[in-house]
Amino acid sequence: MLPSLVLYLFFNIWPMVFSIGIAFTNADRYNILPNPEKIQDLKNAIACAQYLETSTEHRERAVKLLRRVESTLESLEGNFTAIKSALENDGARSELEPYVNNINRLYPRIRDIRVHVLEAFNCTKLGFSTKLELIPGRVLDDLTSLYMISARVLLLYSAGEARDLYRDAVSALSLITKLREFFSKLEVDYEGYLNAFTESAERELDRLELKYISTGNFERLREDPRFYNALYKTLFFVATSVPLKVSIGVLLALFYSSPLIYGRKALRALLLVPWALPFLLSAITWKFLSLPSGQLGGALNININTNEWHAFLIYNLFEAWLAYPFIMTVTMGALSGLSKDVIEAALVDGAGLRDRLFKVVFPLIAKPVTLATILTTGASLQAFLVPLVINGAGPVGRIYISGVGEAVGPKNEMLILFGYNKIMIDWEYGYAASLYLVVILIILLYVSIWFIVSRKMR
Amino acid sequence: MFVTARTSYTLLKVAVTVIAVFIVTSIVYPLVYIVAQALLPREEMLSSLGDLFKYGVTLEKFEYILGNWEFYEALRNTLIVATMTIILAIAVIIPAAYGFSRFEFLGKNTVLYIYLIVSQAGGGLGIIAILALYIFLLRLAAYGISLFHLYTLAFIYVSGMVPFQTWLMKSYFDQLPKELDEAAFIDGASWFDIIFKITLPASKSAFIIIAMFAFMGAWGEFIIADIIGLNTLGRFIFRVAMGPVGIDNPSTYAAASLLYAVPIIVLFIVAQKYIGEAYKRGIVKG
Repeated sequence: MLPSLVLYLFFNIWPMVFSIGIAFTNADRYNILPNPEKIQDLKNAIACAQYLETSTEHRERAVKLLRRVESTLESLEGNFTAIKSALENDGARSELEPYVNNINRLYPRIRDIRVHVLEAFNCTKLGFSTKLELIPGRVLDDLTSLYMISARVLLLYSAGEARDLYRDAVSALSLITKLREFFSKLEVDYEGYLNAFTESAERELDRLELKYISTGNFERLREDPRFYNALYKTLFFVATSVPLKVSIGVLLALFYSSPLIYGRKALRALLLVPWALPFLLSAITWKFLSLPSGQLGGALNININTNEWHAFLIYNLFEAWLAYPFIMTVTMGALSGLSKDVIEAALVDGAGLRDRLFKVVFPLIAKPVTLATILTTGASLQAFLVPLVINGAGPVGRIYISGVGEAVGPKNEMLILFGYNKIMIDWEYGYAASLYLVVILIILLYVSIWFIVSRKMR
Repeated sequence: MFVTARTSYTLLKVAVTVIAVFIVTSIVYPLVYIVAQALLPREEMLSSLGDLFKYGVTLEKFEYILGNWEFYEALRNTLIVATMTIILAIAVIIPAAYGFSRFEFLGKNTVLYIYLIVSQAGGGLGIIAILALYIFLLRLAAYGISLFHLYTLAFIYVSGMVPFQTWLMKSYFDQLPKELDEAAFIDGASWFDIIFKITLPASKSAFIIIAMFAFMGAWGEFIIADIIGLNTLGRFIFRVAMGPVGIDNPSTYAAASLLYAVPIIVLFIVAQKYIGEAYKRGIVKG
């Protein structure tokens, strides 16, 4: 006995409890898989940026370094500009020589700059172990490219490759512009730069950490047009499908108990076919039939892929087809209690068909049919597979709820399907869990109504 | 006069029977359609049954799908899960039901009550529990414990069967005379003997019922397998046959769906006797 309880508790009850907790968190695809290493990296990088901002000693050193970077970049820019304009004006080769020599003298400094910048802003060296770099990788890459271009200037000049030299000068100048922009910003607004870094790291950290957000999800639910649409579609589906399947089931049961039918036992057995088929076979059959190219879709001239109400009609027909055997069987069971004598007595009394129906048959089947109706209402209230298999609750489109707003989503999404989509497609686990908490309350409300009614009937 | 009345009664009967046959035909038509679709030699939606006369009938779609490795792999996975589910269901549910039937213990009625409500409240709670479980499994995977495995699927299926089948089996054991065990107990038989020599042989059909339900459950299920991401036959039908590939090749995938459905239909017919009995014992499932 214990194993069955443990199994049930672990796979059914525990996840529910777990999801109640999740409903109050921001759980999503980024934070459901905790990444302690990355989180620690971010935390250390933030601490490092704050240290750099407050330590005056470090700041002075950084400013000094940045000034040196500035001046190197400035003189490089001057020399490259001179080379470029000389080449543009078809100047003599000798005209280029001093600039080429200047660059050749300056270029090793670029490598030094790279090393010094890396060192000055290296958090791990400062005691904050992290994989994150305060200086963006693209800046370091730009420095490397600039170094390589500058290093081959002399070579190209000696080889007389004027065109290549010109091309290099142009790209060097664009690199220098970018680099100067970055470093001057860093120098002028040192704090601003570090603050921006801290902020973006904190945002990233926020996204990676699963945390308690109180009733945030429920507030979001209150303003989500998709939620209201799902609620509306669910209740509407209950209102249409329940009368449909119950009346079909009862009418078929009454009709096929008529002694006027030859071979009614065999026919009745055939009527239970929808019950005997596995759901997926029925689903694929109904899907193929109701597509615009299918027979039912063609005969009714409907398109379940573009019109939400056409799809909704098919859900109703499919649900009725699936569920009427249950209602029919229950009604048949009740009718079997109706002895021939009673009918004959009623006939002798001169009761017409109407009287027989309303005074003899209906009172007899009222109780079981009511109970069966309540049970099948639960199935409609929790409709999930039917819209999912027919067309994924589509078509997808604009959902507008007056007073709430607008959203894009599957138009026939029902409550349970809405949560399923939030989990499987949008990966918003916390939000879906909060929705399901609401759904469970609705189901509990339904169960208590069912309980009260069935108590009263006994 | 009398003869005329009889004749008109017969005529009425014929007319009503014609209507009755017509209704049954239209209700059963989807099944006729899917069989016809699977027999069509062309890959297009059947526009009417007349297409079969126009284009002929073939079994090659069935042959093709039986040779499809994707179908085979899914079938193999389903067989593994179904076998595990049967074993686990028998090992777990039958002893529990026996306990519920024979012993008194604290909270017994509460548990039974909860089982009853859950098994009748509809499928929604089950789906919610599975999705919640999925989130939990993701969280576990983050700590290095990955349970996204076929075996887990069997455990999930059996846990889902616990409420309804415990009831089913409990009412079955309630039928078995308690005096049988008691007499044996008084005669000095051990619990081991009572269970293996008296109770188990007497409850052979309990095993059959549980095994059949477990098999049909594991075979027919597809949404949990899809959520967990395990490729069973049900998931294959749901994702491939009902997806764009299936719509482009309706005849092949109609054949695949029929092959998938055959074991369930056969078992349903066999199981009907037992299911009917279960219903008679006061358990109604909607």
